[in-house]
Amino acid sequence: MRLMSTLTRVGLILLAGAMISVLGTSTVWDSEPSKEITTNDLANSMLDDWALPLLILGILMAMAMMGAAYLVRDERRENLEWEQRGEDV
Amino acid sequence: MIDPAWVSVLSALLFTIGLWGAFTRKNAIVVLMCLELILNAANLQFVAAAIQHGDATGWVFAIFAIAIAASEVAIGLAIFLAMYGQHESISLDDVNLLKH
Repeated sequence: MRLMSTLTRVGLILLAGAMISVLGTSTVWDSEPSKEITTNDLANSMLDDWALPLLILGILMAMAMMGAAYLVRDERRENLEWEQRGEDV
Repeated sequence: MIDPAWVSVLSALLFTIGLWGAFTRKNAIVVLMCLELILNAANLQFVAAAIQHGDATGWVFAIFAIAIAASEVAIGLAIFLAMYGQHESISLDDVNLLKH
C-alpha cells in the first residue's frame, strides 16, 4: 500500500514536470496573440453561437439545485408532522 | 498583459496539485476542493488558449465549466450532508458503499 502511494506521488511529480516542460516550451505560444477579445465578443458568442448549450446549462443547473435541495431535506419527525399539518409558523 | 504561456504553466501546476489532493486525501470535502482546483486549471487553460488565438469560444467554455462546477459542488455537498447524517463521518474510507 505504501509502495503504491509512493509510486502515485512520484508519478504525479513526473506528470507535473512533463506538463510544465511541454506547455512552457510549446511553439503555440511563440506567435503574438491575434486580436484582443472584448466582452462584447463574449456576449455575442454566448447568445448567438452557444445559445442552445446555454439554455441546456440553465436547465442542468436548475435540476442540480432541486436535486441538492431534495437530498438535504430534513426528515426529522417533528418536521414531517409540521409539513403534514400545513401550518404557518 | 500576462504571457499566455505563463498562464498555461500555472494551470499545469494547479492541475497537478488538484490531482495530488484528489488521490491522496481522505476527507470528502478536501477531495471536492481538489476537484475544483482541477476544473479551474482547465478553465485557465481555456482562457490562455482564447487569449492566444483571439477567439471568445475559450471564454464561453470556461463560463460553462464554472456553471457545471457550481452544480457539482451543490450536489456534492448535499451528498456529503446525507452521508454525515447516516455515518456521522465524511471520511471516504468509512463510506465505501452507496447503499447503506
